Amino acid sequence: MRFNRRKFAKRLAILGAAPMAAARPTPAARDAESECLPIHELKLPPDVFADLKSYARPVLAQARYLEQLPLQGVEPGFVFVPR
Amino acid sequence: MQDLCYLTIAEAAGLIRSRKLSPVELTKAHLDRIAKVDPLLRSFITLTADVAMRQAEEATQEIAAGKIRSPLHGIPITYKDVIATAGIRTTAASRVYEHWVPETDAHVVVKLRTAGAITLGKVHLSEFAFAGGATEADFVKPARNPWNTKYSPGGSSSGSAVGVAAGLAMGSVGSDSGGSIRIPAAYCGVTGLKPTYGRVGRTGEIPFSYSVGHLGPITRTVEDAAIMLEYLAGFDPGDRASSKAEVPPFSRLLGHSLRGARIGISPSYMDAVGNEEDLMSAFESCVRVFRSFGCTVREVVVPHLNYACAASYNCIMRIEGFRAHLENLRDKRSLYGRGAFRNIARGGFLSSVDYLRGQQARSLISGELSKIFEGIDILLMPTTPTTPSGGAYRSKGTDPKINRTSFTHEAAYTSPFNLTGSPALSVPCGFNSIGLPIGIQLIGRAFEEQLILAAGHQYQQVTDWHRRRPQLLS
Repeated sequence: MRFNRRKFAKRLAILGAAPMAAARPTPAARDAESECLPIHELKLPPDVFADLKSYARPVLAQARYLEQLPLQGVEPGFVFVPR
Repeated sequence: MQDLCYLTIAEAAGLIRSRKLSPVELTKAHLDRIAKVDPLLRSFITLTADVAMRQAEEATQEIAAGKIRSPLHGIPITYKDVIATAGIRTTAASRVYEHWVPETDAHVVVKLRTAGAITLGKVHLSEFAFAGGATEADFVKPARNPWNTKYSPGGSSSGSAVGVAAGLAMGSVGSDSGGSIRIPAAYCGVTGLKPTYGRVGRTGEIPFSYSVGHLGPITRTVEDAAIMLEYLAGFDPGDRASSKAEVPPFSRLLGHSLRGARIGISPSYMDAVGNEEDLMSAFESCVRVFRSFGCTVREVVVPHLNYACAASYNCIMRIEGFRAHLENLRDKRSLYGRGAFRNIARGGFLSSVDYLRGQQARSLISGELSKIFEGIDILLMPTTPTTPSGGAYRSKGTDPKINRTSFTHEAAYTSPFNLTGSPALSVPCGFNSIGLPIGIQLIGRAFEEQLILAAGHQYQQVTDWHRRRPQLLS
């Protein structure tokens, strides 16, 4: 079936914000994501982990700022080739 | 003859070349001063007096026989204690490396030893060059600012800057992943150069951050920084980021005319950061000096520069640092100081997406800066937004990402150029109301250190900030 932009828009309008809400990370999804973080490689005791998690908040807030940048299509610059 | 310990490298080299001064005399003068002054300043972690005297005797004999290796022959210097020195323990100011004695010298040590420099010892840093402010609880107690021992000398290359400012060494090699050469240079009233990424090889440096880490000189004058860079620079086969670019004779290009040079300033970025009043006054005086050289001054806007700290300091450096330390953080946690452990380990909460986003931001901001450099030759900024004592602010800063409420504030002017890899030079440009030094930063195009060095040198020909000495030591 061919994609029909008008029908698609209408369907989106009927569904309202539902698809967007589903796209946001739910608490469960966020937990699953956090299991992949490198911090778990340290196998820290729970109290140390909790302290660090709190201490990491300003760093994570800084990282979130980068989501505001127009980075679509921008290639990562980690291969910095010196002359 | 003036105080031997406050000769510049260029002056001492001239005296050594004309046989009016021997490396033994010069080294002994420094060791005597270190014995008197360093118990107060605590800049040394490991003093290598025996090694230094042996090297000085060899240098004296060679020079007497007519073999002068370089302007650094017989010049006493120090190394930040993350730089490996064969047979001399290298601690990174951490218990993790408390007993580590490397078998081989770092690339930069080989280069400077070949040039004939004398190794006085290994100097202080905040733990692993990333613990933030060093504290009395650390493995080695923090170095003190020679201008006022109540205040921080800045970090992380604190011992390098303190020693050079206090006449305990004629130069030092520091490292800089977010401002660690330039910030202590500014706080201690000396000159610090972060060269272009890839210009100085890093083999033998205890690694922290692969893609934003640099090594470079801290000296009292720009001329001395140029001399040291000539011998530090060059291809390092052990460092994958090392450049094969030709190394210009930096110290012979310092007289290059600045007439018509285009200086960029960025009031919009400075407003976003927020600065102390004394520092702004010093910056404005500095701009007037460059105008008097015949430079044109224009305002520039790097559109996303206010995201550079977030990308460089908080994503790239932290994730690379976490990886560099992963095994030690896991297996030797108790050996880390509390501050160092928490500061390094919290990078583990960042994700691979954060890292890639940081590297994309690097592309974006580097591209924008390159565009700006099509219209200017030098970008002029403060080195730091504050002095270590803190003081009245002219403006509090308009951008919460980097203004005084953010913990990245101190590195707001330095860290962006670790991201872009640009060469950046800090020179003293004044003092605040309680007598603590202020630095200004000259940023250039990649692999064009010669222009910022020439500008810094000529600034020092008409100002005397770099000649002032901490009074409490006199």
